[in-house]
Amino acid sequence: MSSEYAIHVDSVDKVFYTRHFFKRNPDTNQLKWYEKRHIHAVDHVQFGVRPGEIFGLLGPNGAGKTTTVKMLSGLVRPDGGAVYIDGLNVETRRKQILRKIGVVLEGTRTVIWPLTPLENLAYFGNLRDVRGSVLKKRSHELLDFIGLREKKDVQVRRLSRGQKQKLAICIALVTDPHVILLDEPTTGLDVQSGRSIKEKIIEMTRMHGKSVLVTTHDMHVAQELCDRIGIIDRGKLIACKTTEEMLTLSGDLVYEVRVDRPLSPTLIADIEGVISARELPDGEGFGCAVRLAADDESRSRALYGVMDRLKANHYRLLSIDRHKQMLEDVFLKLTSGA
Amino acid sequence: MGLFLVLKAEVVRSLITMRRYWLASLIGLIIGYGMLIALIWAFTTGGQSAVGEKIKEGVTSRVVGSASLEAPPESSGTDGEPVAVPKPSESPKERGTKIMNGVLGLLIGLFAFSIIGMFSQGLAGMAQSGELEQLCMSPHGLLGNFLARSFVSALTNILSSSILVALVSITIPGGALHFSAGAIPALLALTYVNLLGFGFMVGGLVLVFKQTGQVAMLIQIAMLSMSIAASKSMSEWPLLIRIVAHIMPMTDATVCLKLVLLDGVGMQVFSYPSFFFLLINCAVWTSIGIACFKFMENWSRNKGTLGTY
Repeated sequence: MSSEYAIHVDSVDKVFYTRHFFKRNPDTNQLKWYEKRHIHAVDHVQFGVRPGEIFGLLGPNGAGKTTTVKMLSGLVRPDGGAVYIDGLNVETRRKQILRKIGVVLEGTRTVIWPLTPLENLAYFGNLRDVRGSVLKKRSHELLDFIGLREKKDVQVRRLSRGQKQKLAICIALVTDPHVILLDEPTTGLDVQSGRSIKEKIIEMTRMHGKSVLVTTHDMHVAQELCDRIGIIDRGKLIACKTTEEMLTLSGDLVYEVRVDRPLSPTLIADIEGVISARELPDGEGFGCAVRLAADDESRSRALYGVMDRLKANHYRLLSIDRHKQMLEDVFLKLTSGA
Repeated sequence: MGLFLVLKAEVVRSLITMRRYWLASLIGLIIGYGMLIALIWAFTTGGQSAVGEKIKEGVTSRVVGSASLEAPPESSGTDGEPVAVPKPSESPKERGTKIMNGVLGLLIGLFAFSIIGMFSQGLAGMAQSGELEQLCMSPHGLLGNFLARSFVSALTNILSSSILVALVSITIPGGALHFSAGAIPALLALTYVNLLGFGFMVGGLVLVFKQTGQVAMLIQIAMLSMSIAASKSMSEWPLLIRIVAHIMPMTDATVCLKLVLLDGVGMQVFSYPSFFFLLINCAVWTSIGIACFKFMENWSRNKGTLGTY
């Protein structure tokens, strides 16, 4: 089944129910003694992660990212569809699959605080059937790899949040899994820790051929880290493309036009092909940020038009720079229609 | 082999924690001993004052406490008529046995309290911290992990309780206990299995409903009270209370342990009706508990409540 993918989420569906007693409807002011509500957490989501690939699952809060990861790790049972790891159904072959995957869930309490990193690895290794010299060797290798060698004998409660998160990743890797699921691995970390974890994820994927599914809010991390990205919103997968393809989805292109003196956006806003123009922020010189249509023909016409208009008004043109496409723009556009 | 590894992991974790926090463990033991002695003291002095009151009233009564140790007063009136005098009903040995009966009941009750607590408050805490999900992702599942965890917890609990019982029995005159190498380990193992089954049932409920702290506390207190009250005189209790007592997982286990430790019946305990009730309880509670836990774990995975509180 689905051997092309290391992880295959096949039209998975999950509905959660909440029960409310004596709840007043704010619109009608009517009091209901009992009400059952449902939340469609994951709505027929379908995607696959190939071996050696980093797949990013992005979405706003409550979009269904964590539920998807929990279904992949067997913590939540899907109502419909199926989840496969290495071609094995997670529901029917759960025990076998749990030996193949490493999961880092959100939060830092997934490690045992009174123990040291080395003792944590020994404990969780034993729980996952890794033992003896293999466990010992792998624990030291992982601590070296993640950069916790000096802290191996320090109790976890004395480690920083970033170090705890690194340890959680080590624990997920202690069984040497093919598939790694990371739920918000960089949330709440400082820039250095976040970057360090990102580099380690790239290293273990590229050098050790592991498949990684990562959920994150951090668009910069996703853009730099992921080979392919899926955007999930209100339980539905609304886009799933390679990172490069995803960046083109923003449609419009933004150019920063810099000139020698103040420039009013109205001077160029009416040029054909210009969608909008706004002044550059204070401190970034004189000029405008001009949003142009994505197709080559209109864009070329608009750029010539801008230059002609500036020349006609005796502006000295200093530079025209294309603004780097950001995943954040695409994400906002797709999830809120902005 | 896999379950053995889980057990080993739990033993190592407990040993490390005990070694790392040895002072806390030692202080816990000292406080436990101090509290028991204080309770015994309160029990005996309370008895003494009660006897004093009754002597004043000139009523013959059964006494409990140190007053009974004193020599009986001369009992002749001015006209040679006998007057009512307190009749010492207990020897120091009987008094010591009575105290040890209470102490044993309390410690067995506390053992039950801690095992059930691990499945109720402990499990809820693990759900909050995220540790529960980690255990659930182990190939041995929650059942295997909790089996190992409760076994280690029971071992450490039995060890510390044994030290306390030994210390108290040395301190109290006439409090010597009988030890049977054959009966005690078997009874302790059955008590643990019995509690485990009941604990799994409570744990299953916690997995799904979470906010069960108060109900679990009531059950724990009921079990603690029953352990203190349980004795071979249970047969004199009203029928309804007797039925409830036999259904509760701790009662017959406590009666059997008290029979061996206090009355020194040794291996003969296996022929007492309480032992048969204990065996039936073990089979029933273990089956119900494990089935309930498995069912509730699946339900919890359906509802997605494993990692929530």
